[in-house]
Amino acid sequence: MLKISNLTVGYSRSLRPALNGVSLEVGTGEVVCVVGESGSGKSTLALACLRLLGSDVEIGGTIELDGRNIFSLSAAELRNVRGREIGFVNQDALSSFSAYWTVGEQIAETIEAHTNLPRRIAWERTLDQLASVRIDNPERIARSYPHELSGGQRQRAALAMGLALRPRILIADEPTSALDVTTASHLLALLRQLQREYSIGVLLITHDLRVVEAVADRVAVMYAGILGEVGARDEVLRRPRFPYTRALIDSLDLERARGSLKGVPGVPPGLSETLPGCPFAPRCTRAEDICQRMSPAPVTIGETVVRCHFPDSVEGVEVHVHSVG
Amino acid sequence: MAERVMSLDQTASSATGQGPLPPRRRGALERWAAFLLRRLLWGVVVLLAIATVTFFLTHYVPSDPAVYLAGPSATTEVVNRIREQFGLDQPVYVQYFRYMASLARGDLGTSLFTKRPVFEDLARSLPVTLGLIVPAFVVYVVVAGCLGCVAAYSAGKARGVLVQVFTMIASAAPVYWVALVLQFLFFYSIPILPSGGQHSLTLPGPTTITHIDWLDSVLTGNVPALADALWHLVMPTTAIVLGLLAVGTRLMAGAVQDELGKIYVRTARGKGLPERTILLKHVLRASINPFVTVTGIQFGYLITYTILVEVVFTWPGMGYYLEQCIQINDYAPLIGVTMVAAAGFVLISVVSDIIYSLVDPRIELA
Amino acid sequence: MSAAAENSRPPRPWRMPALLDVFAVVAIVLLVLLAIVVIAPGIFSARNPLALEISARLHGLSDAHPLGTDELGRDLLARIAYGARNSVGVSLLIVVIAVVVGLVWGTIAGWFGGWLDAMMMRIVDMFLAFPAFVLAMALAAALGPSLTSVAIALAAVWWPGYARLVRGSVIALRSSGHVVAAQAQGLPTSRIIWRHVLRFIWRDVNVRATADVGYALMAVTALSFLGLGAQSPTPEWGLLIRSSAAYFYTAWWYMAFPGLAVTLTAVSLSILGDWIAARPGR
Repeated sequence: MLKISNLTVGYSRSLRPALNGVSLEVGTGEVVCVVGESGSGKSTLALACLRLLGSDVEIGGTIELDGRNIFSLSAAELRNVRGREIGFVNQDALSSFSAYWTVGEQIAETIEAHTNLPRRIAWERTLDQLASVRIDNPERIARSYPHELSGGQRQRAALAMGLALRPRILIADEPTSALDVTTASHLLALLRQLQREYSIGVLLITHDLRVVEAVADRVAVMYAGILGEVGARDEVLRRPRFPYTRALIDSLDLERARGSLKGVPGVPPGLSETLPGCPFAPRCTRAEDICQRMSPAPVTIGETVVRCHFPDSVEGVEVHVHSVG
Repeated sequence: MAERVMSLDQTASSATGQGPLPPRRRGALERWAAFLLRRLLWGVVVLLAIATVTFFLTHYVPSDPAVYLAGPSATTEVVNRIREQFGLDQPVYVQYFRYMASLARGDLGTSLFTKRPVFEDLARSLPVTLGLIVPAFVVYVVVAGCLGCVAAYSAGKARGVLVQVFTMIASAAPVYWVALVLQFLFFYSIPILPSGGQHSLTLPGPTTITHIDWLDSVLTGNVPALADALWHLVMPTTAIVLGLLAVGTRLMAGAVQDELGKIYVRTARGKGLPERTILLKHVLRASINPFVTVTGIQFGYLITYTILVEVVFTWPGMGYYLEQCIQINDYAPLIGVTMVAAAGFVLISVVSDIIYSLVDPRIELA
Repeated sequence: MSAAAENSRPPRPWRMPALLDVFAVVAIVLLVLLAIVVIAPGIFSARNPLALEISARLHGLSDAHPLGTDELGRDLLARIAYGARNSVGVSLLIVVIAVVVGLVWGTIAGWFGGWLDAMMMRIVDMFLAFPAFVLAMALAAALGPSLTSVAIALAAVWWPGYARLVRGSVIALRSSGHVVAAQAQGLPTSRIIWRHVLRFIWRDVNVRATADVGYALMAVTALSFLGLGAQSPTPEWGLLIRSSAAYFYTAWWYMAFPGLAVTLTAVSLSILGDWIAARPGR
């Protein structure tokens, strides 16, 4: 189980930390979606879990994998965790692979790096993996270079690579953002299937609420480095407590109803602005004086954890939840 | 030039959202043949241009071409004889055709120095020059590659700065001077290396097949001669490599640094690959590209430096031959060497294009 | 960490000057010194570089001859000082000529385009298909070995590189916003080219030219070393090294100091070129 406790990450050249006191748990067998705008810090969260952030960061808090703190692992132990216990899938599969080696080669090298299997067996495993992500003709795909595959094939291959060693946790950073809607939904369905089959805990980063609707068990809403709301998917989507969540859902409904892209009015704060209070306050319709001054502490309402001085206690409009599998 | 062709995402997705299978690499042979043919044709055009230019060089210069060919120390008699011999009293276009015809026959004139046809002299000295250029190039690629990696990896640290400073100074010093300094240090001050030539005069040289002593030693299995030949190769090679180092190291360091910033490196770390594998297997492989593309420019320097180093170490190649001729104002061989060097240049650019397309799987020969 | 985030950050500490800046200062100082030597060599040496003093041939460093003497007793310091004008001055001249010719050629080709561009660039490609140094050797030999011949020969092989550089930039800038705007305003072509196009090309050309003076210096001295350039008794650094080769067992200073002069100059120019290139903005 992956347990992120009070994680704070600051880049040394910026004034505001990219992540501020983030706490989240991902158990095996559940899909936790972290949803937020670009710049909210969600990618930083994904990278932090594998200690893939650069050297110019300051880190506070802990990330524990089954009780062991990722930040206190030695280099060798860390290498063992990466790939083997925690798998990683990038947003852009084309740049995740090196252009100079075939896809199969790159999956096989992952297997070889962590086991002592000979090349032949590693290759067989690679083909199995590619088959398990429902790729037709895995042999041909394995011998292809990344630029020769379509976007969907590539992303599946990237997924196969992330799951090659049967990790118990998978971190997927916007796996569908570069895909068209049809391909994306197929990929998500596949992800769900595999997750159930192997009891993997998935931390899925996305900016799209539709992805949350499709696959999430629990959802965490991130804004400007803090988790505004964390709870069960149905609960959060039907009865959002954090004003930003509400705004997100509203804009999605608007898009569905009228077909127009509206988004949430305003712009999220950059990393060079310091915010003493709640970061969403400037854009919040319900903000009061205290919101600008004091950062809200986490409050538990039912099973949802919210960071707001005035969590939404009004019953929201009934939201239709579209799920896949 | 080889062109980049990236395959586009197919728009129609199948029911499983996969898309069509990637194309089989068919028809590669035909494309290669067409490419080679086109490049060689261009090479021939360039050679013709070179020949024409050198013709005009010798015939439309301020001085009398006969005097130029005869050398300033020749008597009027000799000059007149040469004028007649080369038909320099004929109209220009006649001269031009005679010139081209003789070139086609392989007649590059006669050297006053060796009293032999220039063509023969070149046939003998060109391999010797190659026998120095090739090892120098190989050593250069390896050393610049390693130093470039070090410089990129330790970019802000002492080690990286040291590498950059060292290579800059090594290459700023004129190569012929560096050669002299090396000779002074390792032949005169600390006598461990020979002062020049391909082999020691006391040792019987290997049987001559290619005129390249180290190669001949290998081909005839003559181990003592090989050791001797290699020993003689050390200083000239070092001088050339030092001269080229700055460019190559900087190139490699830039390429490696670019690669290290790319996302696939982060993914590779994320899947738990050891740092060494990432560097040696992925980053290096990707950095070779820019290295290869600039090879053409580097080759120009390579030729220049080799000529100069040959002179210092009396390495009996084209450069040394040239310099000896120049000393006695025998300029005819210069034309022949220019032709050969230019032809070699064209060949190298074709070869580097080919290598580049082999090395990057994203490129198709257009 | 969150406490620090609540408060505003302390002001940035003063950054250590980048290593390149330090080197650049040293380089500029050296180059200024060099400029003085080129303009007024008499400041560095009161002696006549051509004055023979057979009794003092191949003497080492001394008070009378701070850098020693050559095989004819001439003061080495004087020969190096007066030689700077020949070596560095000629290199500078070569680059200036190459830049001017290349600029004109490349601008015409790039601006007018079409068959003129194609033809002009074919000629440039022909030149670039030659190994430049070998061609320069042939040219210098054809013109009769002398420093002048070397200058002409090297200038002749150097300009195509600039032509190509300039042409590429001109083509890129020709369709840029402010050029089109200027044309729309009806400004005369020459003015547009001068103010809007060349201004921007200048920086790229400048970076390359600075480094090229160093490379030209290498080429000039190398041609003299081979005997195709400056002839005795002209003091020129490459020729000095050539002459010194026969005596270096006994007179190490003869070989060392001219070589050091070339090296220091080339290093300084290289650093200067890097520094100009690294400076932000246009």
